[in-house]
Amino acid sequence: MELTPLRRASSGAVLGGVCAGLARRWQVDPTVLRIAIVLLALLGGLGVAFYVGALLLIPKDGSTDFPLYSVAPFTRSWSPAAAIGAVVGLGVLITLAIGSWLPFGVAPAVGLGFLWYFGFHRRRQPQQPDATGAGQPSQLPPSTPSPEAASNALPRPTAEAKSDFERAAAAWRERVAEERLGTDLSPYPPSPLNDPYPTQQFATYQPTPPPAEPAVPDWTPPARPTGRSRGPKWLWPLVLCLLGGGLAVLAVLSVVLGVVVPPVAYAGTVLGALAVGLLLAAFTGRPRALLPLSVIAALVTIAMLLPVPRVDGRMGDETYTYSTVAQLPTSPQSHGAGNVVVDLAAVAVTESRRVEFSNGLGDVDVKLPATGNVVVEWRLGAGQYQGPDGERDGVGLSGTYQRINDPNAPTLTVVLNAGAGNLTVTE
Amino acid sequence: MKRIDVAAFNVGLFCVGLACLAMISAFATVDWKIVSIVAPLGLVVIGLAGLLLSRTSTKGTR
Repeated sequence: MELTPLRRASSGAVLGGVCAGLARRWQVDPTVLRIAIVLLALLGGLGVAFYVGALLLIPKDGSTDFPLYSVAPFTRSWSPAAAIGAVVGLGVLITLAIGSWLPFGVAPAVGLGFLWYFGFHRRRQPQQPDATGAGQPSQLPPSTPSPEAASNALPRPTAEAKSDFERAAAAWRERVAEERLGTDLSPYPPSPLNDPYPTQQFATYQPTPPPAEPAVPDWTPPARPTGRSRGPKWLWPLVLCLLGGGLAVLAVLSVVLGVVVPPVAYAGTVLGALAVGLLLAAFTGRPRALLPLSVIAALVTIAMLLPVPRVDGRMGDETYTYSTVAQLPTSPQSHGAGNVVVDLAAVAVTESRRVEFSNGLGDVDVKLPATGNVVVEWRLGAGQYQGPDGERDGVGLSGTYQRINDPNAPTLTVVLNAGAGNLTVTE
Repeated sequence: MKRIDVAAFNVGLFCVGLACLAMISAFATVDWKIVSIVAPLGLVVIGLAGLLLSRTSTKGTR
C-alpha cells in the first residue's frame, strides 16, 4: 500500500538512503540533511528516532510496502495506521532511552521546529502555486470558449503530478476540457465564405445535442484482505473490564490502604489485561489494534523495568575530599557522568551529620572515616556494589551498611545514589 | 482443527510473563539471576509452542 511518494534512495546512500531520498524529494543537498539529522540526534536523540522511523516506514526505490513488514513479518497483517503507531511508539522509546544519556534535551529541537514553521515554512506557503491544479475548478474552460482560450485553459499537470491519483485526476480533467472544447465548437455553422447560400444554411441548421458526459472510469479501490476474522465483539469490552478492574485495585491499594504503588505496576496491569485479551484472541479471532497496543505496552513496560540513569549535573571525573565534619556539604552533591571519588578517610565524626552524593553514570568510590559510627545507605541502578559487607551485582540494587562502634557516639550517614556503574565502599 | 492465531498466542504469552515480572518488581525484589535463566527458557518454550501450534493449526486448513 502506497501512502507516500517518498522513497529511500538506492544510489548515493550512506546508511539507509533516508537523507538521500529526502534530499532528492526536496531538491536539496543531502549533506545538509545528514548534518541536520546528526544535530537532531544530539538533541534528545530525536534524530536517531526519526532515522529509525524513516527506515521502517519509507520504502526503498522500486518498492511500495513499509520496510517494517519485511523486517518484522508478523506486522504484515497490521493496518498502516497500526504500523505507524508502533513505529511512533518505538521512536518515543528511543528518544527516552537515548535522550537521558545526552546533555541536551528535546526543548531546543522543539524551539527550532517552531521557528522553522512559523518563521519560514508558513510565510512561504502563500507564494507556492498549486502544482497540480487540484481543487481549482476555475481552471476548467468555460462553456463557450474561444479556441485559443480553451486551448490555454487545458490543464497540463502531468509533469507536476506527484502520485498516481493526481496523475489520473489531471488526465481526467484534461479529457473533460477537451470534450467541452469539442462540443462547444462543433455546433458552429460553416464559414459563410465557403457557403454560397448562408441564409438557407442557417435556416435549416439544427443544433446537435451535446454528447453525453464521458463515462467515469470504473475504478474501485482494492479491497483489504479479509483472511482473518476480527474477533468477537465481547473481547474488547472484556479487556477494558480487566484493565479497569486492575487499575481500580491498584488505586484502592494506593489510596485506601496506603501501599506504595510504583508506576511499573500500572504498566504491568495494562500489559496483563492486553495479554489476556491476546490469549483469548488467539482462539476466537484477533480484534483490530490489540496486537500493536500489546507490543507498545510491552515496550513501555520493559523501558520502565530497566533503570535509566539520569544524567544531571557535572560531567567528568570528580574527587571530593573532606577532612572535618564542618567541611561536609549540607546539600546533596549531584554529578552527571564520570568517576566520582568521595574521600572521607580523614574525617573525625564529632557530630551527627547526613551527606548525600549522586552520580548518574560512572563509578563511585567512597572511602569511609577511619573511626567513628558510620551508616551508608546506597542505591545502584545497574552495576556492581563492593563494600565491607560483601559484593552484589545486578539491576535495581540497594542496601545499608552500618559500622556502629559506640551507640552513644555521633553518627555520620552517607547516602549514595548511583545510576549505572560500580559502587565501591572502603574503610 | 480450528485455526489458531499463533502470533497473538505467542505475544500474549510473552506479555503475560512480562506483566508478571513487572508486578513482582513493583511489590517485591526481583532476583535477576533467576530471571536471566528463566527468561531465555521461557522464550524457547513460547517459540516451541508457536511452532507446534502453527503446524497443528494449519493441517486442517491446507
